[in-house]
Amino acid sequence: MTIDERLRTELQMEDSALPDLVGSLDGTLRRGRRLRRRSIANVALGSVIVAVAVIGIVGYSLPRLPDTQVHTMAGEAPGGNVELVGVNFSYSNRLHDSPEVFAGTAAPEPLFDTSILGTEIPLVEDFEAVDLDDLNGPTATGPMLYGGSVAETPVFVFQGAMGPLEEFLDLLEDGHHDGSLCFVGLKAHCLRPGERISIGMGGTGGGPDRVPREWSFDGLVGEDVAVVSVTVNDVASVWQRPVSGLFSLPFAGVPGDSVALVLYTADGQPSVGYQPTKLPE
Amino acid sequence: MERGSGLKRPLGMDRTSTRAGWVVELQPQSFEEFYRRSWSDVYRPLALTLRDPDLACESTDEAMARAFKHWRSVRAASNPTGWVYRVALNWAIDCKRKLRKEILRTPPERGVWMPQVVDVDLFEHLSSLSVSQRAVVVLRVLHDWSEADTAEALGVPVGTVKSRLNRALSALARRMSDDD
Repeated sequence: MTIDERLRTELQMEDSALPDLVGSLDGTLRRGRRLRRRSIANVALGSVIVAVAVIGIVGYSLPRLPDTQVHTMAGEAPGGNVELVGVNFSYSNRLHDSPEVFAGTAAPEPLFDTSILGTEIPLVEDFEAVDLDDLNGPTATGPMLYGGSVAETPVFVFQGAMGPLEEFLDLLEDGHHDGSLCFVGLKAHCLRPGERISIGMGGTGGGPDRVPREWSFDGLVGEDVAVVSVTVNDVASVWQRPVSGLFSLPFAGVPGDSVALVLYTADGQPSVGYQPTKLPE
Repeated sequence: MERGSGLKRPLGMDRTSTRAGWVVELQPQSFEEFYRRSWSDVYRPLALTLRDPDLACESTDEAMARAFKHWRSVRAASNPTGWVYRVALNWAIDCKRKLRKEILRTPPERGVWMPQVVDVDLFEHLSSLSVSQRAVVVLRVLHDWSEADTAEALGVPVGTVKSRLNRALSALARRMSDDD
């Protein structure tokens, strides 16, 4: 029996062993109606909060996008640029008007064999799965550069309030306004002019038992960069295609590991690397 | 709930005709009709992917509620069931991530789902795959979804579906040969 046949037989057995749970149509309809009502209420509340906050902070001088963007309606004139935290990002489409959401530009398609780089952690455009109407909280008043998903969680990249505004973009988890999932630090290290890379630690573990922790390289690279990849102790670990030059690449490692970030152009040329000494304790 | 209602498709089916098939087959008249017809088609692969039928049930209902909220646009989508599957999977992964943080403080009360299986080793090997790899294996190998439809449902490029499946099968083959 081939592996495919064994696998299919196994999965068929598992499928037949699944408990015959049934959903609740009534409960789903009630929940759906609540979501609709909340969405309407959030729009109204969000508008008031934004108006009060903006007027309170900058008086009556409302910020405005360049005219070319102001007159761009959703789906009409795709492509353009939007400025967030002092950085000019390109976008491929304008997805939503209030809050303003833009689809980031995908990095060039890699023309080389990426299987040698380890596991792909996509930062992909996944707009259909994201609930735009949930993005009405006071932290999500944008504009936002849609990033896709990080470690399979839909996120938006937006100008956040963590630290000095010129240094950080937040990644906002879809539907959650109670704090950012993580952030893209944009000032830690510069590889080339305009590029910023940072390394951060998340998750738990580590210590004497040497349980791998979750770390991440985040940052901004040139839009000629097709792939960013991480090696841990010189072994290929994970890679990602940036969106509008942004990437957020989680990986596992223990303190003391030697990690490197390597950037590749579409034809597979490693352009430049970032080599911290060791992962810190 | 009717099982496997009309979503299984042969591998390698032409993409254009498949899409046309989706539109004809899945363009539902009402949300209620869509719910009754598609709930199980989302729940079952999700339960095998997550290894947690209760969470799969919960996340399917949550995704269905979001589909109801956006029913006009979901109904017009080429693959409404794929849309619900993707939302449900993302929601479930989000829950699992939060649960992991909770587990650090409080041990979980819920047991691990362990069905009667023909091959315990293979069940464990499948469980050792990542959720994203197992999702591809379940949709491609068990439910015979095409690469294009799997990619659409998971919100990833077709190349990613191929590489995830290859890696998953290679890992399983390696572990099975170690067993032998």
